[in-house]
Amino acid sequence: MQTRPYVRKLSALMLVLSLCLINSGCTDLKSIREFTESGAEISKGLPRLATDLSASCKRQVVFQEMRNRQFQPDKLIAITHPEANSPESKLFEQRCRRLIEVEKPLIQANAVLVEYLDAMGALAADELTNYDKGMEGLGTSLSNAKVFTGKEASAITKIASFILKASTEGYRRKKLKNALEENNAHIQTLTGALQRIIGQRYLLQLKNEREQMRSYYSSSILEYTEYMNKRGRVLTTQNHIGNGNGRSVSATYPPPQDALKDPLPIITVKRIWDEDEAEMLKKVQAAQAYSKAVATIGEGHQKLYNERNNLGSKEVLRLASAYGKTIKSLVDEFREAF
Amino acid sequence: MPKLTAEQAFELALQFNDVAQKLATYRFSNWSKLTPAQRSSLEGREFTIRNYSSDFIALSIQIDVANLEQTLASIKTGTTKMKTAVTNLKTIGKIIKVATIVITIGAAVMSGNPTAIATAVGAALAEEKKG
Repeated sequence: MQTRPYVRKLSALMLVLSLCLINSGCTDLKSIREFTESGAEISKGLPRLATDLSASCKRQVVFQEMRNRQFQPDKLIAITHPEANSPESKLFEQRCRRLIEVEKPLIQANAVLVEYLDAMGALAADELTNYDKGMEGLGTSLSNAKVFTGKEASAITKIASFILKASTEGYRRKKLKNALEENNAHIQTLTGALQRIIGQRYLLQLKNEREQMRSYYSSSILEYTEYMNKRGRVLTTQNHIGNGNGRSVSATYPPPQDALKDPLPIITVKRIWDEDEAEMLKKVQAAQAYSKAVATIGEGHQKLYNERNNLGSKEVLRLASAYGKTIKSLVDEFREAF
Repeated sequence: MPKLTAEQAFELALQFNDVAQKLATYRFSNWSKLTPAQRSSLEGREFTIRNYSSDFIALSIQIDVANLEQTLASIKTGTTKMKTAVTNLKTIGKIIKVATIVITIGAAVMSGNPTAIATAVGAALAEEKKG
């Protein structure tokens, strides 16, 4: 059976449409999806940083209170392992109240970013406008209905599938473009704020905590030195006393005959101090990784906004892919640290 | 008196942190020259000033987050629009499946083949169960 004229015309139309779509750069948006997925992934790490704001404050208070409770084991236990509703527990709540109060709104603000990136990722998913499976049975049914030949039914199915994809693709890209246009300024504001909060404010709180920790260890070591000197022994303490920048504070006295040369308690304390410093460093690194990632999310979104009329182009997709990979590496860095 | 901005609160946090640290440095550098009472007094002041720094950090964050209210509301609207678009595209997919099944049922009925009819109806019911 010869192919009917109207089917031939439809096939020609399909050829024309193919050329139009190729010229408009109809490629997949997988890279955009990867960018949003990486962004959402790192953003999910923020709650841990947010809760550590008040936790850092509490650790700072613990170092202060331990200085006030020296040699009293029950009071030391009470401050380092407070019971619920104990005076110590209430002390933490009172001293760290403001930081406790900012946790929830900060986590909620971050959740808005996560949801936005997830929604954009869903819209950028290419399978969304892939209706091939749904169209599979159509050709067979048309052929079985004995209205069209097998060849005609196949051609019609392909044309219908193509037109459907072209129109839904157009709809999808238009919605993505709209989202970028309407939200770019707000996304810049939000990512800027999150970057400041974690990359500056939280880091300063960690600095407060670290300096409190150094003050605690330094004071304790110097007091111990003085105590031992009073008992007629010689101790010289060096390194990390004072401001932690390696300045030496020598506390030597005229050596008696039975001078003690190896300050074993100091060595032990120094080891514990080093462990605390290492834990602190991890938190700083996590905050820096998160801050950098959020800045990259903002930059990537700005780039997509700048190229919103050309989302399918290879250059834009290459950029989106690069941003996605940068963020992903920061996710790994963040997880290692925190 | 005008309220502080987030940046001003943060600047205060930085200044208070710096003063607390200078007090600590002074105390350790002059350790042997200070009496225990003087050291204790300096240490207490260092703690208080450092705690104020933490308070200003918290205030700075509070102001930053409060200022985001409008921004967050706008982004939420944008997210809803994108979700609606995704739902619409998924609905098209479902409609296609249903349309295909309808055509299949029609073709089966036209053919008069009971087995084909049963298969087509079964597929329709299965699709309806998916929702």
